Amino acid sequence: MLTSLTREAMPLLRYRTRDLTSVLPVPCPCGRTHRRLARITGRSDDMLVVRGVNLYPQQIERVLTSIPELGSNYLIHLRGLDELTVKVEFAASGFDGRVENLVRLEERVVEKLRAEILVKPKVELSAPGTLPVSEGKAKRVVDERVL
Amino acid sequence: MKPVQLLAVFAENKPDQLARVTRQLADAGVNIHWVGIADVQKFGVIRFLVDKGDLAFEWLKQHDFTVSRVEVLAVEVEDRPGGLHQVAAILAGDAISLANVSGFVFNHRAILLLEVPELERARRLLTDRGLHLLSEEEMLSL
Repeated sequence: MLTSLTREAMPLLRYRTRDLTSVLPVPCPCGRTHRRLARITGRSDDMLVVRGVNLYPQQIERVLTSIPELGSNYLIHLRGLDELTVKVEFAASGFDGRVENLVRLEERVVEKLRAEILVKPKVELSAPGTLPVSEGKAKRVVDERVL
Repeated sequence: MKPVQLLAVFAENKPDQLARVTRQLADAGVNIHWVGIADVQKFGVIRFLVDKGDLAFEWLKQHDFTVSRVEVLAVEVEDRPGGLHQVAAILAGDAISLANVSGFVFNHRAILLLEVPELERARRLLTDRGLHLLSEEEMLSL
């Protein structure tokens, strides 16, 4: 929510952007002393409701990036009646040729996601380089639900 | 002795996955001596024993395949009833669990390919019991 103090032609009064960010507590190394905002991670209207639970794609992203064996590209797929599938690439360096390790990794991702978002998702591991590449504002959510 | 290294390629569960790989191996002039697929419904790992392992590995990597090497034990057992059991019993006796196993008989030589998480322990155990473990060269010259 922002209000501009010095703009005159088009002032903003309690303008709600719905952007999601946070205030950075440490001053900028460049010496400037203004309050700083972190990179905008998304918008509050990105919120999904899955089986009655509110969740943000950022929550899923946070879990996925915390697992080093995974790559950085993922896709959130909603199908049928509230069926949540998370497709994620595994890291090429983490592939040791053993299928059972991939299964174990997949189970770990399911468990960590469930703990964070309180909904048990399906997880599909994909080979590195097969999912759409992440660029600033990538389309991460595919909603094909028939509600 | 050079241990037996299989080429392991990740494959999704959809058509054309094996052909994609074999096409590249054919183009690279790599000969396949053995193939096996470890499959878990959603995806699988195709494993090959090839004559030019390093070349095949680099070739596939350059063509954007997810590829890795897996070391396996190649054990020669007697071609008679109880041959496989001899090996299985030795491993069971030391509580070594197996991941993927395959076997074949060629010219009356029975060969087992064992993928075990505790490779070194299994290797020591089997050689201590007088079993012959084949090197990669021996496997390729069968």
